[in-house]
Amino acid sequence: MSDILRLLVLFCGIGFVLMVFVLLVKRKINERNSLLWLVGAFIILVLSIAPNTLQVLAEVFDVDYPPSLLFLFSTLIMLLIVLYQSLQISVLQEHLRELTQQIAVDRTRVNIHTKNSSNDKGEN
Amino acid sequence: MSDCLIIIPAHNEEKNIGRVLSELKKQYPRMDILVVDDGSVDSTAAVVEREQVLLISLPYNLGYGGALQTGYKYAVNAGYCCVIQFDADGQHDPCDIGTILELLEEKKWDIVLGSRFLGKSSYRVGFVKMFAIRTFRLLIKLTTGVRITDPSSGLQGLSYRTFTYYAGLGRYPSDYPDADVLIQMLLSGYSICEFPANIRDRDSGKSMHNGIKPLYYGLKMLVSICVVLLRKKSGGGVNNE
Repeated sequence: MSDILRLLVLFCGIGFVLMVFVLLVKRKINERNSLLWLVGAFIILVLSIAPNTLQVLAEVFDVDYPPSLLFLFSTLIMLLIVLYQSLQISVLQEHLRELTQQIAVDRTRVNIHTKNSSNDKGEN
Repeated sequence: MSDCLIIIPAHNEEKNIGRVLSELKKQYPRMDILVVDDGSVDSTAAVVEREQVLLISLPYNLGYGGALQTGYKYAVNAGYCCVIQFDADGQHDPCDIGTILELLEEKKWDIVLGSRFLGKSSYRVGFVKMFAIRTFRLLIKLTTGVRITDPSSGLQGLSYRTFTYYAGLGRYPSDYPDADVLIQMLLSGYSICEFPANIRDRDSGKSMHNGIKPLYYGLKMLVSICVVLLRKKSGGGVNNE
């Protein structure tokens, strides 16, 4: 890996960590969700500081072309993150539906109660 | 307040809902009727308000199952003993409600289905839809041993224990409750019976199963049925307690 590329990857990693922290501070992402992205940023940082790590891992897994190992791992991690997000979206959809229904039911009951009360007052 | 509540989910049914409600009110003046307006963009809610029946207006379209579940939640809160589902498109005959009430209250069935394919009904179904219905019939028969001719029927009567179960969080599909729900309930010991319903042609409006929806619907249902069977196998069936 050339020095320029190392520097670029290092800046990307630092930028990524900073971005996640900025989002955390602005409450755009919660701590739980930020963990996965911070782990991703940490991996980018390790690879930029010690590019030989990938070489060592490729030898362990008997992979001739080290970058392909990186692509495999990154794809798997992305899949995992997307699956986790789908899971969260499903849970949120279920909760949103429950809330919508509950509000609609309560509002109808309040309307009926108000109507009945005003009818009673009218009779009195 | 009556013991039984008629729940009518309605989505953009301004042309049909008025006639449906007048017929129901004429035949069953003492029964409570609840229309769940499922985020209609036409004047469905205004028509319903003129008819002086109960109305729940959902702020956005939750889907057929979501609208029905809203009705079940209302029925649980208000303390009804049974509910009857009735479609807003005018295809169901109000005379069938008497049969449902009899089967629910006297024969004590948990779920009563009005079948389009029993008796003398002249209801015609397209090839794709009929293929799907036949497949679901077969799946219900294979998994539960019970013969249901019309698992997609929108005309249903539900006992107290059934609709209180359906009203719970995550217990009822938001889009198309169908064979998956029936299999789940049958495997959990709920009793289901069918009677020949008189189904009429709809005057106007669109069926919710059109375009490429039947394909999505069929695939989704197959996945749903697999999940129901897996849940049952792992001991996670219906639990009312």
